[in-house]
Amino acid sequence: MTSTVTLDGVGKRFRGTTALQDVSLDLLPGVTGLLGPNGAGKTTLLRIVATALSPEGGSVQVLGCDPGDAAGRLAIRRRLGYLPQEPAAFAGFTAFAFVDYVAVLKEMTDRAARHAEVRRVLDVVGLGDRAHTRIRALSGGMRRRVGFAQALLGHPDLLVLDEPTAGLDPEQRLRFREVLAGLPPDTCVLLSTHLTEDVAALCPRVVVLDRGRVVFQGDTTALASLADGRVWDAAAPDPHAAVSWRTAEGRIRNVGTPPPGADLRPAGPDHGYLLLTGSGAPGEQVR
Amino acid sequence: MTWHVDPRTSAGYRAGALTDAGATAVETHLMQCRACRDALAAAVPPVDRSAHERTWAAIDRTVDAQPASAAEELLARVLPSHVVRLLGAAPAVQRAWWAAGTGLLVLGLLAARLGSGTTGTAVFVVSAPLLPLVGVALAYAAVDDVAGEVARTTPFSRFRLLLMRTAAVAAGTLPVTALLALALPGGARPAALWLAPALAMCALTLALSARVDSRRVAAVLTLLWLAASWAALRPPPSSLPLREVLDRSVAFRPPGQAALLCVAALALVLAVVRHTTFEERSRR
Repeated sequence: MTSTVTLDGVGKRFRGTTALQDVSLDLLPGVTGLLGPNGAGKTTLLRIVATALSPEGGSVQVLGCDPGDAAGRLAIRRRLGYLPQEPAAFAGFTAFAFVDYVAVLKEMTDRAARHAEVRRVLDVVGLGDRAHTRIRALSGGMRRRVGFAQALLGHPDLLVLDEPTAGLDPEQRLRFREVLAGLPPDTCVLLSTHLTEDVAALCPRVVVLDRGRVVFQGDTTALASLADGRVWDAAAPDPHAAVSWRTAEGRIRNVGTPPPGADLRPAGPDHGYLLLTGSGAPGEQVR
Repeated sequence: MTWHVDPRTSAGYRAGALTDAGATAVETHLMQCRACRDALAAAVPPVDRSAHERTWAAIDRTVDAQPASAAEELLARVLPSHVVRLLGAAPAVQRAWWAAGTGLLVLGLLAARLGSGTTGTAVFVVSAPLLPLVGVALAYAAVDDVAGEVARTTPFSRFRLLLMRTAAVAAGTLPVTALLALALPGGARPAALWLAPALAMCALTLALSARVDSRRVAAVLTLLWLAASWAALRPPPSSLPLREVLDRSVAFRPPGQAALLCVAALALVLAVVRHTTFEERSRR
């Protein structure tokens, strides 16, 4: 399968702070989750892939084009859907007018076809009945869905979604997962989140960023396997653990190097993620 | 009626000739009898599908119509819907901005007509170029404000959008200002003096906003323009004729006016030649 997005040795600095350093990755069609703690460089990476930001050093290929030159950028933008972390949405617009505005910017000039497409994407995100409500009157989760709707305009080949599930309630998150599952299989989706359950539910592949570097890239099951035999429950935080926290049952769950005879538990992607991004200092309390 | 709708009743139903009770009875039967529904469908002439589609399209248009401002409704009469959508998002076509801008000029005009004609006219010709300038600056800023980063990652050319908004602001503000200027005392000359500085400052804003925020450019130009005008025109003795008062500013003398028009043309050419810079700036 050919890569939809390829980054090779990409870096980015903002006023002396390194946001990304020597990032290399290949994204295949399908959904890829981008995990990382706050400040890991997720948004910077997504903005580079979405042609909103130019990288420093390294090479970027998106949908077979180079975003560094104007023609390549235009070709990418014609096939891209992008949901930024904080999309500005003119609060005086209705949901319909805002999405319609973006549709015009996406070169949809035929009125009837454009309006049909706007209605389609608003229906897809479950906002068909709120299409004519002004954005300032919508809840945070609904505004997020308006942002998602504009990203879906025109059936893009590449969807770049920055924290798409932030602010959504569990039912809305479920709806979002259904929408992603209903996309054509050759669509490439790159979404950032810090919810490992989103990754487990949505993403066959995952990239983990930590302090601007890629620390893992592969199948979500492989991320979970990193923690195989390294998750155990105990009555108290274990000094051998990289991270520990209290479970709902009142036990202490530890991730790290278990002592002999430990009460081992099944590993999930969240445990693999914690092993990669936890401080590594034994006994560190996550909470 | 027999067990099924007989042909005579069916024909009466199709022609709308049955009584209300008869039609209701037929409809109740049709809801439960497929044979009669099929017979009725076969007897009705084929429906003109394009008429259906036209009706639905009209319904869609009505449903999709956003409550529009007066300015947008006016634009929609002469421009295609997608252009109106792009222009309508600019604050320069919003009511509050229009009210403030024209209010300022009307005040200048009133001062010129009712108070000292010289001072009022000077206030008008100095403040008139600022109306299109502020409109242009806000129109540029709106390119980023309305859809933020989403807009910057769409294929629509940022420069083209800026030009469209500039044209809209110019088309809106210049005729209004010109009409008000015609009512100034003092004849045709003071009525035309504001145009060259207005064009120069708008074009400079366009050219410089490739590198600097348009609002900052407009603010600096406004301050420079007001300071230079104040230095040249400071409240003159009321006995001085209007012509001599205006001649104290180089910007209002013929060579100054010609120079300002040259600045406008050069800035416009520079902006067009370097239009890719507008796209690049947004990616830094």
